[in-house]
Amino acid sequence: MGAAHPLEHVLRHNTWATMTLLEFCASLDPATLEMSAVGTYGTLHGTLQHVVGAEQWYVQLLTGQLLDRPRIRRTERHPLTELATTAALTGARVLEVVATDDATRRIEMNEGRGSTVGVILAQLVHHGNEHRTQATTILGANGIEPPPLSGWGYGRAAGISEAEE
Amino acid sequence: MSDLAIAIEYDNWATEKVAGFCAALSPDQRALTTPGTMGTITATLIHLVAAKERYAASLRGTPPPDDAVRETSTTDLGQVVARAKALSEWFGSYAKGPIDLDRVIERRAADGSTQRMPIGILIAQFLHHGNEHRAQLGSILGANGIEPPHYSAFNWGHELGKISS
Repeated sequence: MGAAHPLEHVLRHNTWATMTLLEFCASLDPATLEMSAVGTYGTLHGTLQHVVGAEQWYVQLLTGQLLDRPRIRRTERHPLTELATTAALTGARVLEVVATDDATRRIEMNEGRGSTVGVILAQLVHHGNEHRTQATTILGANGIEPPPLSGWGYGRAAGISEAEE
Repeated sequence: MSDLAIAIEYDNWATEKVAGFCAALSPDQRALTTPGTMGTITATLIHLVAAKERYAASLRGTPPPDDAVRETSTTDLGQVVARAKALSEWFGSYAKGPIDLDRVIERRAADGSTQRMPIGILIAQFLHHGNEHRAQLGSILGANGIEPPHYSAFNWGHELGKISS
């Protein structure tokens, strides 16, 4: 699988890692989803929902489209199956964005703020990695070995790389 | 500047920001950790920059320089901050050039084996790895009552004037 766009593997890794984490967490005792760890965002479920909800918002900023309505908000709990559906849709849509959009295009955000497409994409990648790491911190702090979510893991899963940790 | 170059520039900024912040902590603070992360602040910071040394070396096709940060020997966080800056300069220059993401390169693994991967996978891992360990540092700091520096891509964009407020 070649890279059609400079950010392609980075974005494909982002979606693969979120989907892998959601699938792993769906296999756990449901009580595990209520666990947390000091210094992280909140509960495991709340963190997963935040990862997917934020990406839904970033894609809405980039395209003007709200994928998989309704908007995921922290005030309403969404099941992991629903989060996986939204993550798959946003992951596919953002690949279409980078194939056609201009990194320097300015976008109006909220509260009168504006940003460029390139910074929003960098934030999307940062944010996903940041909160997935918090999720794995919660798992590790509670004695559960997290699934491998690295770029190496993505490369092996895609069958295009031998690298491992 | 491409989307990928923007994401790399963000990684450079965030790692330098976190390295500078952590290096300025007291020795007792740098010895702090929290469950579910990889270790102390010092160990995590050294690993973050040492790994970046190895990613740069793999992309250059040459071994890390004599003054490279290494988990096995580096203790001076001043050196870590200086190398983070030097690596930012190297990656910033690399990101501006044409990058053949499908070109296969080799990497020497920890067990001595040689692993082959496309450059696109190494870059996905490099960006993931930086975000992952900066997030762990943020968790350690927060868990121990220290407000972490603001290192998101939106913070970076704001600081550079790419996000207007």
